[in-house]
Amino acid sequence: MRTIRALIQKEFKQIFRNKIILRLIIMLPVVQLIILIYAANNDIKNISMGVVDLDRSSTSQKIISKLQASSYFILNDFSTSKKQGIRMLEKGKTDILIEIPHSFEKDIYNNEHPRVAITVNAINSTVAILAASYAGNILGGFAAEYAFSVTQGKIEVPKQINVTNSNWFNPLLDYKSLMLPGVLAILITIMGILLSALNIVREKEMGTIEQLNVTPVTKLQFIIGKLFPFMVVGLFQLTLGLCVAVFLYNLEIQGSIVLLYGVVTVYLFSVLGIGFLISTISDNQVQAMFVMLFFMIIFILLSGLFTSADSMPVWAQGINTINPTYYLVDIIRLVVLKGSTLFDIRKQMTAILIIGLVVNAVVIQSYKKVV
Amino acid sequence: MEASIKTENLTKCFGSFTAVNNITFKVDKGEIFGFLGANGAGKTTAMRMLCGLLHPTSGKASVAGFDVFTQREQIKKNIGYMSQKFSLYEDLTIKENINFFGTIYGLSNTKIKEKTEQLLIRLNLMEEANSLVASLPLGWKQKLSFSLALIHDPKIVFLDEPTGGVDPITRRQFWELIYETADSGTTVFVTTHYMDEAEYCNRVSIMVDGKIEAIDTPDNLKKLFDASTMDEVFYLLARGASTQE
Amino acid sequence: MNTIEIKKISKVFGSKTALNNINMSIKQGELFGLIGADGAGKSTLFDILVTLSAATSGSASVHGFDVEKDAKNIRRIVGYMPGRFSLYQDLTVYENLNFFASIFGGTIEDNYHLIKDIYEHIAPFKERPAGKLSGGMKQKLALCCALVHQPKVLFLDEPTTGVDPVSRKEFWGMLKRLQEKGITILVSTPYMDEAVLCERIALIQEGEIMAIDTPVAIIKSFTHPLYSVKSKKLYQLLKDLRNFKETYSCYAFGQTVHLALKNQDTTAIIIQDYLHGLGHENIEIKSIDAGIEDCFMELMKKTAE
Repeated sequence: MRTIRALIQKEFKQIFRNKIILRLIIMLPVVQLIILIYAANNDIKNISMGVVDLDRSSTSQKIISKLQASSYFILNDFSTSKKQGIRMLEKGKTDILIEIPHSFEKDIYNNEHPRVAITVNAINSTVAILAASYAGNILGGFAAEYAFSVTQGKIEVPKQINVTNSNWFNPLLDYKSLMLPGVLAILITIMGILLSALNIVREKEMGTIEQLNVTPVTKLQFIIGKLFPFMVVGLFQLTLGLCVAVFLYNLEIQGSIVLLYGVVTVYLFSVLGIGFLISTISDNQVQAMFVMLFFMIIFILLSGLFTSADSMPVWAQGINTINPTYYLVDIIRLVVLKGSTLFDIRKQMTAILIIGLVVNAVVIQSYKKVV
Repeated sequence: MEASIKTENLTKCFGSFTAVNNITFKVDKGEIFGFLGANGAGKTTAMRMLCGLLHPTSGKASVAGFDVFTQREQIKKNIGYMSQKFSLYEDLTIKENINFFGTIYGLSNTKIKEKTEQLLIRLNLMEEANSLVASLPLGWKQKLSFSLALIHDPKIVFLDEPTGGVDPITRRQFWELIYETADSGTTVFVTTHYMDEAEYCNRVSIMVDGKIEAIDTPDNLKKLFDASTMDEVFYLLARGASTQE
Repeated sequence: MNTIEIKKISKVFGSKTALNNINMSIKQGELFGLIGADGAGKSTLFDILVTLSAATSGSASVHGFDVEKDAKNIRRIVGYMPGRFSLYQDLTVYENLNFFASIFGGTIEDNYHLIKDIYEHIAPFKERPAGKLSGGMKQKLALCCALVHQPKVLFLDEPTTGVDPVSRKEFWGMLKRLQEKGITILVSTPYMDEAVLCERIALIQEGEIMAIDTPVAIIKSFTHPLYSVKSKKLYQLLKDLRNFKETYSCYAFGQTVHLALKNQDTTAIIIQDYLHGLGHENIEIKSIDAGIEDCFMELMKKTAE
């Protein structure tokens, strides 16, 4: 026990005296959260809109002003022909094109069901789908209003089932809410693997590991002496991250914070283990970095942070069964946004725990004091 | 005198390359034994086997009475080791290093305090006790590293090329530490390629291409090869070696 | 004109003075040794002379070119072998040599006559990656690469450190032959026994020059009477001689102790009696001439006092 305590104390002293690492530990969560959230914002705002109004009636004007009034669209082009409108779209000057046909007002008045065409630049499909649906909603709303106002209730509006979308757990489809928990997860992953992968290799390079190998320190003591300090660092970063999320972005954590810390602790156990594994097979820090990057990129891209994991191909989902980050992104979103309990996330937790036990067992085995 | 280190046909192969080829020798308690050889001759490999850092391929060896195959952990408790890179923690202070290694070897807090004082006084480092090791000159790091290897009063201490490039006075001060240690009964096993240091040892062995080509006191070896310095002895032995390629 | 002129060179790193007021002149075609331990300032001085770093104060010139103003010209005429092996580990012997020849605008054949003796040792391995050579071979290759463009001055920073004694001997043999070809050679080394192989040497300690002269002259300047003393118990002998009131200094030299006395009056008999009285057996006392190492340590002691 005393040995483990001595190992842990030594590790902490070394961390605190390493000015660069110290700054990284504090700055990384804060800077990443701010940059990632603000810069990678996928919120739909200020979509560039082009309009071709072949009707030029008061009705069509009303439609256009309604579209403009929403915060989603900015009217950037008013073309005189469909051809010109499409060209604007192709040039990228507009992202969405609304075409109001020739005898629009007259047809509405005559109950002829005129069509408004919505053409969307789908290079960014997420934006495209949302833009089209906003536009569709606005137009649909307008149609209902118009029918009511024109007939003053006299013409019976056919009964329709109005589909109202309500986004559960993220009512405003706030991109930040979507990203924040996931970004927190990524942060912890990056720092965790980075610190642990480089640490043992550094000791190898400096020769201090050989000195330890010759002492009575056991492999288990050695690993615990490394795991513990880095877990503390990881939890500290979680705290920093949560503070930024809560105070800067007003994130409301629905679930239990204690559960959150518990989850992250188990996660750190497995992710640090992966880092140590990398460092036991690397000869120098550069090698360790490259292997680490390789794993991190795969873990993060497949994790479901940026794109939905469920819509990935089968082989990717297969990889995800052993991807701890995938489970963590899921858990953090569930706990933070939905308020899930331990029971709800038991499957994911078990997965992370098993990964952690396996990896660390391999590390202890393969970290040989003897070649 | 009981043998501190005993080997019999100790061998280590890396694939098809035989680094250490059937070496047999013994070292007595309290001896200063010099394990000499050119770089690549196999002496570091041999030493690492004796420290429990490397699995031998075949043969027998015992260190401090413990078998290198089956009792490695016992060996580690009873030996001290100073590696080529002096492996101190550069970002910890002298006191913190002493504390750390003392704890690892299971010394009680009182014992550690005692040892710390002794060490600081002996090495004249009282004022620098709370300075980072990184700030010390090379010679002091060397002496500190050596002292830390002895903190748990081991029976044998292994020194791997301990005196790199320091000035002659500092080197001698270091060797005086070694003398003192041997005088008090600790066996000192040192590898070096500074042949003049070979002269400080009670007995030396010279390894060439994985084999021990000579083992005796420096004086006897010089007589045998009709040489005036150990450097010459080595030169005569090593001239035909294949490690010269 | 001296090939290398060093005037009042100092180099300060923050609060640490690495070199303090160095003055040296090295003649054309000399084999000059800079003798000192790690941290004495040898590499720092070399860095300044080969234009790798700038002095804090003072001036220096190589072949008439100022190290600060004419750096480009110096780089064309010097060959440099730094303390650490700095060739390309994953290029072969031949590829390394070719590389260094080409960056000076030449080919290996141009100056093959210079490196022939040395290259013959490593020629059998010319297709081997440099990283896989033994220490001695690496040094020989590095020397070839430093010579391949026919430099006028050769700077060798600790070329034999860590190399086995056989290769060391061969290396110095090569240096002598190079000297005969007219190249000025400045070598730094921590090995005292190599000092006597140089024409002139400078002893450097903690950034200061303690002495500059031929090895013979330096040895002659050893002021104290020197004896080699031996007894059955070396460590005890050392301690007892330290307590002897006539001792100026005593240091272990292998199985004997070199004892420098304060004055001429103390004879071997007096020493013998003293030791006998303390229980020493098999006492052997001889008067000896000082070696470079004795002189070095005496100078170190004097500087410290």
